[in-house]
Amino acid sequence: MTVDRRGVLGLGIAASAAAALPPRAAAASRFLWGAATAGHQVEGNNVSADIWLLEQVQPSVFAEPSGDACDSLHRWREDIAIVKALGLNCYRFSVEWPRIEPARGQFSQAFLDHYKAMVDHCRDQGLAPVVTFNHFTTPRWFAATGGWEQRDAADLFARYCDKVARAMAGGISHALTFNEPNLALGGRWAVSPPPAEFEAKMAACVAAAAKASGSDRFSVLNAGDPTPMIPGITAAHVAARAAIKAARGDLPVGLSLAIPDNVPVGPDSGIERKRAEIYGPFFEVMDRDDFVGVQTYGRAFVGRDRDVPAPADSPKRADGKEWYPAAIGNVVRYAHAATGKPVMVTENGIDASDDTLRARFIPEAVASIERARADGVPVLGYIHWSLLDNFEWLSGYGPQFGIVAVDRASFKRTPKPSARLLGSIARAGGTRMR
Amino acid sequence: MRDRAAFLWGVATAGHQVEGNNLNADIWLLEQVRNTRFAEASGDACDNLHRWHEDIAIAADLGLNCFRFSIEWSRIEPAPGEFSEAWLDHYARVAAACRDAELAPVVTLSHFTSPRWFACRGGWNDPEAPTRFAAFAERAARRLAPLVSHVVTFNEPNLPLMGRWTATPLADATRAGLDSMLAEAARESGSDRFAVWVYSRGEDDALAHLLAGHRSARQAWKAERPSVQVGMSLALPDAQAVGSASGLAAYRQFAEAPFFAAAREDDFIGVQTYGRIRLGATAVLPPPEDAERTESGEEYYPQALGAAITHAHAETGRPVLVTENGIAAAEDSQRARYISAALASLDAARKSGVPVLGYIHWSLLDNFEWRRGYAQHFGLFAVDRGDFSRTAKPSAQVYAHEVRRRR
Repeated sequence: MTVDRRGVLGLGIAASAAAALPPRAAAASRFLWGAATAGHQVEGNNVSADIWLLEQVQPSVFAEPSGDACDSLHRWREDIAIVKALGLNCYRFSVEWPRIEPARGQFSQAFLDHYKAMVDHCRDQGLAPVVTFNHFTTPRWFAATGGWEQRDAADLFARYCDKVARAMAGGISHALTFNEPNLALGGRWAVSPPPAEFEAKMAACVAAAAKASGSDRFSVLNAGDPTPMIPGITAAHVAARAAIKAARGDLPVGLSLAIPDNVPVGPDSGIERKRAEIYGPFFEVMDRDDFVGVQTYGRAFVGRDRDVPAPADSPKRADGKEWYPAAIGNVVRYAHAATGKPVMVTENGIDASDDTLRARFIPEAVASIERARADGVPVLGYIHWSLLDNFEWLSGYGPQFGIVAVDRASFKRTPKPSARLLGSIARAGGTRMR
Repeated sequence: MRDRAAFLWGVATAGHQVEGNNLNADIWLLEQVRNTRFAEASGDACDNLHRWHEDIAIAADLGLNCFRFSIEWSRIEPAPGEFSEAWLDHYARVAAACRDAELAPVVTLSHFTSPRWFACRGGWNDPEAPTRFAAFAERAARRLAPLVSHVVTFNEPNLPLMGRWTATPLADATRAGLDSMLAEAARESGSDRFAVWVYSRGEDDALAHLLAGHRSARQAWKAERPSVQVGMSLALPDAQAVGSASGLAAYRQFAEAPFFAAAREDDFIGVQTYGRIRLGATAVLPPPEDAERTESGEEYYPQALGAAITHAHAETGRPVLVTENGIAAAEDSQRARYISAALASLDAARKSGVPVLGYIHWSLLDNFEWRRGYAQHFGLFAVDRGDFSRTAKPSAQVYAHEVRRRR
């Protein structure tokens, strides 16, 4: 299998959900129906981000640079208007650390204001803002000084989270410290390891970024060996949670993990070992979290030491990819059982140029969650990835996860039929009443 | 929109000095390197990036009919050959909003900053620089030409040449400091060079490239819309000879002649005047002992404007657009006096027959004054450094009154 966006080095996706208005009172009761974006993937011109540089150096592992993305930097009001018009009650987006702290210790009030305006505007529109504090990108200066491997990584991240929380925590519905910090750990369980050629290119790409930064290092979570980075990230989560809670004690805080529906294969399946390796380090630091965010795109068939290809008789799409929308229901059950926390589906979606596939996918996925809820699993919301066709990291603009198409030249947004379908489910409060 | 024949009364800003977070600009990096020679970093500047609508509104409220701003090359072409439609859209919105407010948009293509990648390729020393700049100018023209009234290709490109006539153009320590800052920026970019024209020695080859870039940019805009008026803006203090051995002629040869020659092919000559310089045999002389000083320690000398206008027209035969004139003033009343006196000298020059297209005051806002940071107050409006709120100073009303009197 080639390196795809969910693969070992695929810099992934995101989403999460929040509550009703007003900000604090009714927060816990209302089920969230949302759509998600992430800063680097939609804003455009995130020029001080580590990943922007990885896109630009030679060689680059990226299919194309992010460039203007969807120009959400200027068009975020339109994005929020679409979410509102569809009948959803939640919008997940990320705040970009590289914009808020473009140089170490130099915080931008202008961009804190910018993101606060987004939070406030969501509230004005009756939408719960679910805000991701780190969606893969970090500032260039952070990567060039050692990223999550540097001694004070957790303190640096917590200081940034403190600034963000003090600026806008009052309006946020749910806070996510990290988006899929476990993604890279999944690499060692991938069906096939990335080709040596790709690994070499990635190393050269990172080395070129270090050189362009006048540094001997350039440490980016999804672009290198994650093992030495994970302790920095888990410590950063704990410190960030404390910083956010200090700004507003009743703001629900969690993180989002990439979790496929793991299916054991054979009598010696390594499923428990896989779970311990990939989710364990994060479950350990979630004890004081308010919820667990899950992000699911399908199933993984877990052999003894790594994932194996899907069985020949498993349902497939016309293009040969597996078809199993109900995966998310199983993951919701698993995540709750493993953590005891309420679950928020912060991402769930499908890469489909044929939108009718997405329109079939959504009700089946939602129904699988409804069955879990009926069985007593507490679920806070369902946030679809993604609101927009966007910059899908290594794969560039090829994949289409959006319920809304974006013209690459004019940035014009056009909702697809699946968008209206998701909206009708949200308005009806689920699939049964539809 | 007023027809172009109307005299332009405007205010000026420049992207890097007011927008904030111009992260991909060469000068942003110079502010950040550990041995920077900048008093402070530009940071959020005036957050004009988000508040440009407000800036246009306060300019319109003064009863003006012109707004000068710059477009940031480093935003429009963040990587070589990769152009940002999003940022072109942004500047098109700014220009259109000027039009809506009946302010003629005067747009500067290069106001000191260039993209980091351009500096890493040697800046204007790179033989490919003119082609690079032309490509940027062409993309900007395609988008903005229908909206723009006047184009200033370069802002004060003669600045690095103003010291060339003396044996010691800059105090050694100053030059050494700039060189080490540029060297560190090169190191932090993994490059063997990092050249920024305004902090350069004004080398001959680079100057030739820059002037070629000017001509190419003019052609690109003219091709897009022949009626767009194109020129460049020069730093033109009223240069005065002191003593029979004054170096004035040599000064003019370096700091003015090549630019005036180029400007003779343009639609107008942009003049930017703040005061006078008095040239002795080997150095610029200090102001007279009893001279009134500005906030930056310069001599208060508002009447310089009339002389500079007259000189620029005589040398080029082109009509003059005053693209900057102003004063760093800690006491706003000094600015008020300055404006009235400078405009009186402008009136006199016009009366004597010098064709002048307009007067654009520097600056609308207190802003990031390069190496001196935020300590220099050129604005008709103060800007709160914490919340970015704009507050009119009394001099803003003085300027509005002077304009009303003349319109």
